[in-house]
Amino acid sequence: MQKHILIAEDDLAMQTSLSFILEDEGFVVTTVSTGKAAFEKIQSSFHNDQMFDLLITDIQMPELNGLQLIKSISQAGIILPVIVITGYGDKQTLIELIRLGCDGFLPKPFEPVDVCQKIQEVFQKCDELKAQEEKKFADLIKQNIDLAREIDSYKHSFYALRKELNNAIITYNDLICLNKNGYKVPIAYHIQALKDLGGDFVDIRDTEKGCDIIIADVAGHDMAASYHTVMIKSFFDENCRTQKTGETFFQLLNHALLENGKNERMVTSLFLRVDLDNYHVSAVSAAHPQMIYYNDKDQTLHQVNIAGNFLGLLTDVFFETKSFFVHPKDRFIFYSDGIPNAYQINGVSGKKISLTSSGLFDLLKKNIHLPIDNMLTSVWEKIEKFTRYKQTDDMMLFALEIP
Amino acid sequence: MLTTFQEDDYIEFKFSSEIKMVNKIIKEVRSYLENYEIEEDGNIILILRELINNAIEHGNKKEKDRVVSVCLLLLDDKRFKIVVADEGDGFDYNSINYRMSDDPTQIRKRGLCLVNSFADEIEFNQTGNRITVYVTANETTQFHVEDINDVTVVQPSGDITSEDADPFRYVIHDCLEKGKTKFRFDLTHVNDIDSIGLSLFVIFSNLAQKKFSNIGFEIINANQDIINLFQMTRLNRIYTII
Repeated sequence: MQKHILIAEDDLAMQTSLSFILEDEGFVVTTVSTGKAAFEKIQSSFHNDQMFDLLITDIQMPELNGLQLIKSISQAGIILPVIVITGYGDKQTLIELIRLGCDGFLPKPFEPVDVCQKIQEVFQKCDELKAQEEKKFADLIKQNIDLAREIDSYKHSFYALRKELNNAIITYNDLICLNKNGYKVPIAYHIQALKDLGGDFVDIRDTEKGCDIIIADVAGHDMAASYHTVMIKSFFDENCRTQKTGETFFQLLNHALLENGKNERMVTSLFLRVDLDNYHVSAVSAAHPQMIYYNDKDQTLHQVNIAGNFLGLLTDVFFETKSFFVHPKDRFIFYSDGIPNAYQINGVSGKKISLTSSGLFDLLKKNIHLPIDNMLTSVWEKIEKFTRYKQTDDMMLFALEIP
Repeated sequence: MLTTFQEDDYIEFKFSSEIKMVNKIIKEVRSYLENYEIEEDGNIILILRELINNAIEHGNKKEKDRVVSVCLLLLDDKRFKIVVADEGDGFDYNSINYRMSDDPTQIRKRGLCLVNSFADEIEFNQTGNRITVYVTANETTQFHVEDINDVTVVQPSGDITSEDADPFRYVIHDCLEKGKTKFRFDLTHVNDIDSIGLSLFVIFSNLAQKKFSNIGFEIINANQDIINLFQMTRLNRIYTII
């Protein structure tokens, strides 16, 4: 296609000779005599999408000189190669033109051959730039496609993973889920997990003489933590069948957690065996927050301190066993560390106030007269209110009553 | 309309009830918070966004000429008091249920619930058209390590919880790699250690004892709760509490 050149020149002789030279070379030429007219032509051609290929302009012109014209073009966001016809002694203007990114200069006086050579240079430079831009653009498109493909594959694996995880969560919750009724002892509990996986674990199994109960808290909230929990559950099930003592059970469990766990996790746990034939209870603790015993006859609450190591990290561990006789209507209350650690922050002072085990003790004292279900719900609601309904850890509260 | 007033550690905005003001104010607050080198301003921004939205939409019912005022006051290091007031009729703030819904699609309707969960404490004026929120900017614990004579002193800048587990793990592994054998943990700034944090102390001592025979661990400046924790878990047999 023929290239279209705009000449802005107020000297008519110069304008005519330039257009002769250029038309001779096969260019389409439009001429104007002022900067203003040039700018209007450029604007309208830009909007009609019939842009000039080149502007040749003089510096000295009425109504918008060459410099102002170039500035106006660039301010309008129009890209157009420019050759400026310069006279003698325009050094300052020259510097300014270079700064503006002018593409070429044509010093007066010039021969036709100079004009043609300059134009060829500018067009060549433009073509090179255009080719570079096109290549850059093509590369970007390619990169874009590659990235989109990569994202697609990430998306795909993410959805697959999410699905897998959801299934794991469902299975996990099915595994550790506990019925509220149907045991030899009445129970009540409330568990609120911070995350989908891991968290506090409680289980109860009827035995020949009564029931066995376990509470466990595995550190962490990830899939690995939930594997530990499942392992604890299966050991507990097995122990309910074999009826080994709590101490032996914890020794075996500790060994198993250490043996199988490359991923070391701290586990705290409490084990309670209720013998309803003899109204006898024995308890073992693996560094779990101490349980609370309610003696119905004296109407008193006691914290039962049982010494023991946590599970899953040390090879040499020991567990004390506490045994005592109980009476109907006596209660045992267990909880995870999330309860005494539950806190609120005073807005003004910024001070953190924890519930603490004595806070829990007081709450239980005030509600112990209620039936076990109501007692638990009432205490739980007060704890929630205390934390201003903000949960920061797993929380579990569990109570049982001797029938 | 937007007027801003700023003085020392206090900044106040008053603006017309237009939704477009929300982002404008958020932008202003962000640049204001930069003065306090708050690395993670997530809490504060989230709370403000909810409160300003509520004030414009529910409080002033998007009536342009009603004014919303927002002020932020720095209480102490990284803690702010935020007050947002509108010219509406207020609402029954006693009836709010702050329990987080398990259903994620409900979150949009539960803006105040979200605010509550990110704030330390919230209060309303009697009418219910002015809310005061106290909030602490998020901060992660840094572990400062220094060799004093032949003892490596590790000082955490805050609590040691599961969120800080990775940097803590990195620090202790690094110390062991360098062949250090005497360790002192300065727990001056630690109020709380959770079970993951505690596990790291155990894992660390196990690793160190496997590697060197003449290993020594000390805990200094621990508060009573943490001392109890070490005693309850019998970690005090491994870590000497001074």
